[in-house]
Amino acid sequence: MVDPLSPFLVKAYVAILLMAGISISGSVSVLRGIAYMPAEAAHAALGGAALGILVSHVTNMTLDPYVVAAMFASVTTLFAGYVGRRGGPEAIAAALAGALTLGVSIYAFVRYILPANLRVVLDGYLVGDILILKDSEIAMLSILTIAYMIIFTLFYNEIVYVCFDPEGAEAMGMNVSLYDFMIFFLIGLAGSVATKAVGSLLVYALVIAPAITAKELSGSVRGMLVLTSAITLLAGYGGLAVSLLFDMPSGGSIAVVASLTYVGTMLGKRLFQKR
Amino acid sequence: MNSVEASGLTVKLNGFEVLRDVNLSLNHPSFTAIIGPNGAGKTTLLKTILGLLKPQSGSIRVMGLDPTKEPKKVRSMVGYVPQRDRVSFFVPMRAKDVIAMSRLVWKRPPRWATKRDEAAVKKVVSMVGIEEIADRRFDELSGGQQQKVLIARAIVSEPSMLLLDEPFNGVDVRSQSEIMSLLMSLREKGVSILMVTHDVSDVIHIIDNLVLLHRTVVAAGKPEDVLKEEILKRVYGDRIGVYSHEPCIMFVPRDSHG
Repeated sequence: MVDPLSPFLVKAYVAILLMAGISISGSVSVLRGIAYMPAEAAHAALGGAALGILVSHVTNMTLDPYVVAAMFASVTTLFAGYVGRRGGPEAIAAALAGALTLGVSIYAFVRYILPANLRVVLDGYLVGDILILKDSEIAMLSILTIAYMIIFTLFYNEIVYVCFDPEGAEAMGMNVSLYDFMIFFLIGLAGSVATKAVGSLLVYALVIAPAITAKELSGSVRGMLVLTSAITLLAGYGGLAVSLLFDMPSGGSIAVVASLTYVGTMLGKRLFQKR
Repeated sequence: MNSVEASGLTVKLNGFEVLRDVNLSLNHPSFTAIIGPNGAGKTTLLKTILGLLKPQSGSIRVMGLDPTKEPKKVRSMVGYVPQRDRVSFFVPMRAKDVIAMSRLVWKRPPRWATKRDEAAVKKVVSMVGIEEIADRRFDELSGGQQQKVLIARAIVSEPSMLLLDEPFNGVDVRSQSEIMSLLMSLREKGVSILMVTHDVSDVIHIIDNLVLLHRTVVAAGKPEDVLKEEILKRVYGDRIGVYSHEPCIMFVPRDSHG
């Protein structure tokens, strides 16, 4: 039996708590009508992490791949936002598809040329494992999450207004372009943070499933955000328990519990409505 | 003072001339409806009034101000009700939060509502008669209720002028009548109203001016002076009929929507 207070589990508990905070980006993606974006950002982050590891390896520089991944994902989503403002939702989708391809191609290329010990590190960003987070990674996760929460709290109204009625907000004097770029930046940042916890392949399930579940159950935007974080906590701790009990990969277990929460909610809602 | 004064106004969108040599003068306060076929430049004119689009040539003044030079001042004086389908239904905002939006945008981040803002929202909710739906989600309201919420949002900051883009689209007859009563009471309080509409017959008896727009101002003046078959045929083609039954004048542009 694993000691529930063993250091690696305590770090996982903290990481899940931080993930719950940053999971509101899933809600923002749903509100903005670009629910697919965190997953695309996560794949861009994978490319960024690969570049970070490669540069560190080749130049012997101390470069945190996590930081490069976050920068790469944020720049990618900002670019998608820029393209989208000129060409509409289809242009955003096209730009993100390009970023996804680029990210995965960089990953494949770098993985091919890296030595075996670094391939394992890189693969951690693909499938993720919340149980092997280092202290430095928890510190970075905390910094990014706190920065995210501060920006989000300060500009909560702007973010909601731009998602709800950009034309009306602009007519009222709001700088809609600026705040729309902020939304894209935050989603990119969150996508890269989630990559470390569950891996880029499963970000979509962890970030979006709680958000769309919360939207079905909430009567307001604030309610949706709180519920999104609560469901992420539930999926995180529930998935971790499943992982330990059945000796399954943690990232996959967390994503499965998050997805099951959505399926269960929809089934429950249908049954309730029939009555 | 005029609410809108446009002279030789030309506006291009993506290189295409949407408005050409528009000359328009509207008194303040007044109630004006703009009609015209799809693509006539009606929404473009509203956006130019708000300073969201810059004219290629000509000039425009709104409540005595140039919206290209003083957009913030103009937007603080003008309430805008966009087409309802431009608003996202992904966002579960409560009706009262939608209304508060137009007060909070003028604050600095984090733009938290004060007691004064809450009181202003409460006052306008009561004025528009939407107390029962103020706490409900916007996306769950009927078309007429949503339109009332958007109008309440536009007037909560007490503007001198109100712009409405197709306010009766998807709105039932009862709600239309309630919205018209509300607009008339605003007009009586000294607010200028400029409304884009496809169906002028509903508002014909309450408007002061009617503008027929088709990239340029084809005709403007009292409704009975504009709604003449020979004028309407220049815009809508030969398949148009004008029917008068006091106090209403109706015209049927049979081919305006294809």
